[in-house]
Amino acid sequence: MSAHIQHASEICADQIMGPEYIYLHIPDLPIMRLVRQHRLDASQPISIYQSEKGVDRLIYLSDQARQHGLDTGLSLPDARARVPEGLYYQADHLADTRLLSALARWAWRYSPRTGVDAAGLGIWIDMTGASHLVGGCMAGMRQMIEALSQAGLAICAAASPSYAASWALAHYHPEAKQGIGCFGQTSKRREMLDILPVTALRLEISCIEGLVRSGLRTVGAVRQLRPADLAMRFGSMLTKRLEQLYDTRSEELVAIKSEPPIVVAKQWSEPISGDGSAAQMVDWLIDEMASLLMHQEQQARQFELGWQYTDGATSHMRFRLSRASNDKQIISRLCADAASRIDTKFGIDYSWMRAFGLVDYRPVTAMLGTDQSALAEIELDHMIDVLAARLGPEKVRRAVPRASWHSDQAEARITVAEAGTQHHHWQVDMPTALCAPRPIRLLSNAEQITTISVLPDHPPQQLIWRKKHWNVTQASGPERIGPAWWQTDLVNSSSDARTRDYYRLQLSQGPRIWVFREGLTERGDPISWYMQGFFD
Amino acid sequence: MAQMHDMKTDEAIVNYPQMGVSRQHIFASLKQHVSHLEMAGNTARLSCDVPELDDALSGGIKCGYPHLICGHHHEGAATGFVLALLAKMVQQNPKAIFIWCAPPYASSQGQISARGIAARGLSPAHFIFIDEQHPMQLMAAYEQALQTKTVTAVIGEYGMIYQKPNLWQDWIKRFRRAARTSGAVGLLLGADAPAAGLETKWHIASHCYQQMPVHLSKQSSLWDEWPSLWDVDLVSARGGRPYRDRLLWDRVSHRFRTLSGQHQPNLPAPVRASVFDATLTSYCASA
Repeated sequence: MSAHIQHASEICADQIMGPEYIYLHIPDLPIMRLVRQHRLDASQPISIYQSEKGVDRLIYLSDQARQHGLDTGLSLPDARARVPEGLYYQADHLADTRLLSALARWAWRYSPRTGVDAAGLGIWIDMTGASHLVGGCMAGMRQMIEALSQAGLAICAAASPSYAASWALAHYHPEAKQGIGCFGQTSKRREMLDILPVTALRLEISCIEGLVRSGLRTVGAVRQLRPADLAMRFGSMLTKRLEQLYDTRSEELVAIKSEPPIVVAKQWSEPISGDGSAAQMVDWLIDEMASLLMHQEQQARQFELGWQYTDGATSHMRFRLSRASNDKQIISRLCADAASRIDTKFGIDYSWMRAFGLVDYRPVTAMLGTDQSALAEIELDHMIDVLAARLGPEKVRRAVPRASWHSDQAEARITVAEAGTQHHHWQVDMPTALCAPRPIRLLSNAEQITTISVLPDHPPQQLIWRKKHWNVTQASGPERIGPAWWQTDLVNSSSDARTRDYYRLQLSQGPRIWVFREGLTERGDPISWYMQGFFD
Repeated sequence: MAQMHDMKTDEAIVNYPQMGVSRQHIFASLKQHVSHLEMAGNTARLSCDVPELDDALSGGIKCGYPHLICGHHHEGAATGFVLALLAKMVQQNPKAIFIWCAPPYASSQGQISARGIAARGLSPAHFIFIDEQHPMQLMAAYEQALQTKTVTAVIGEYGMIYQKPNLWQDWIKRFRRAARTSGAVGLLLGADAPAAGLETKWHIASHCYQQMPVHLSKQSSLWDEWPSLWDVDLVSARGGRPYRDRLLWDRVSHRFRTLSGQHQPNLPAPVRASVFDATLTSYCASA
């Protein structure tokens, strides 16, 4: 390994000027996390699966699992039949991302700008302007590989002047396991990148398949072609990725942020056990935290309550407020059920509370109660906080507009915290007669209906919906809504790419419904009718 | 103490026959007295613009109480009626906040659509949506929201909970207490359910047009207008009486109207003239 790293150092022997990116790819991260967290026997075949189109399929495998003949993409029942003694776990991408975030925070010792690539199972470190502190970019990469290898993680690492090149080399270069650098003359860099497979371009699977079908299997083969031809055949994303890979186009990266939290902690003289003691512990921490925040004239939006057992194991839970606060009553209400959720086991001997998302105090007028609107907002936010704590923040939401003609895509429900002021962006036209008619209730999935019409391009006169016959007394329409052609992949066109004619129908039994005909009769498209929603 | 109680009962037994008043009359007068006392209190009411309906409601829809709005599950009529009430509340308070508690992707009747709300002249910015699958959690969230003073109205889609009578009654009591605490209007939306403990019970159905209100060619707007026309049945109202009529909703002036349009002597003119007026006139002439 050291010999090859030496080779990597030689590559970067030239004076490195400009951007420097290191990418650390950890292909076994989900498996290693499982082994560590569940204390599994690493010699057993371990597999991780996730549901894809209703079928559980393997996505990550340990080396032992591969040796037993398992492979990614295999369905879970088949895998269990082949290797009954294997261990199978459902994927937890959130936990993997958290672990990657922790690694990215660890990498702050090398550079203040680091980030997570959850999809690629890796972290990146922007060493620009910081590499000289660790003896150069390649020396820094060597240190990282060594430290993580000692922790039992298998690393594929690469360093280059662009994020895209580092990513591609770390994932696909055969020598990436020892760490590889791609600095120096442009021709040398191109040689290293040209041999990589087209999957190194981070494109969608359909595009990759199209390239392979066309006989373009390596990045070098793709680079030989004219960008205009490539863009016309495979889309502009391909040319964009090529430019990023060969460092002629920059890429926007989102680094993880740090903000020092406020912490209160206590080492308990006697281990805490039992619900009553846990409740006292939580009360003490909240009391201290509220006092500290008040003293420092700050308010926090997020709190972490953590504890350490007598055996050294730690655990924590997080709480989030819609509006930053330092009020003891509010924090207590937020953490009302915390004590009951803490399993004290054999005892807790250390506990802490951290406050994140710190902001300055609220205006004094609101504190004195003279600003009534501010007080009303506070009360509403408290209600939202209580409901979010009880049900989960993803269940308390606001509707925000989306730019789409399709009703089912024209709005999004996002959490109140994420919504910010976006929910004020709704345009309500007056008079409403000028608005296109939209139903007040939408079915989440349009239901197919059977219709009888006088002519193919006429609205239906009768329809069968939910196994019942309905007579239509009136119809209004059509309102034609075409597909979003600028977003649709016309190469692999699906039903979403078909034009829809929407009609309002008044049924003899009373309901007023919104139906649409998919496909154009004048073009000879296959026609199908769907029920979309209800009017009042 | 027991002697006092006996004495009072005896007096009552003795006195009522002397007064020559039947028991029904006594209860009727007591009910009227209670309703007057409640009226005398500072209970806010939401007028429905139709004098007969307001009279049946003893002045309008009471704020600070839960109300039951029933409709067929495959219709949007009840939802449309609720949105109409909310639009009236926004007229009174432009900063109104509504909480809409419903199970996510309610399978048969669909989910409330923000675009649909906006198309009725009501901004979805007034709404906070609580999507919870578990019915008990949903009802608990509804109660929590109803306790908040800042909230103008809380709408809850109760699903099938009403089929368990004890549970339903317990929740109704809790909703009543919560609404009294905050003064918010509680609107329960769903299938036909028992109304004991609720302030009013409504049954709303779409009225089926047998004839197009106005031919498309006569329309001056971009889209032809289909007026919201409902068969409104006020099944029960505390301190009031049942009422049944066909109501139209004017989306421009945000007012209810009866179909005949003869009972609005003192109504001010709509905010702005619209094709709706032409539609209404034409429909009334043809009906």
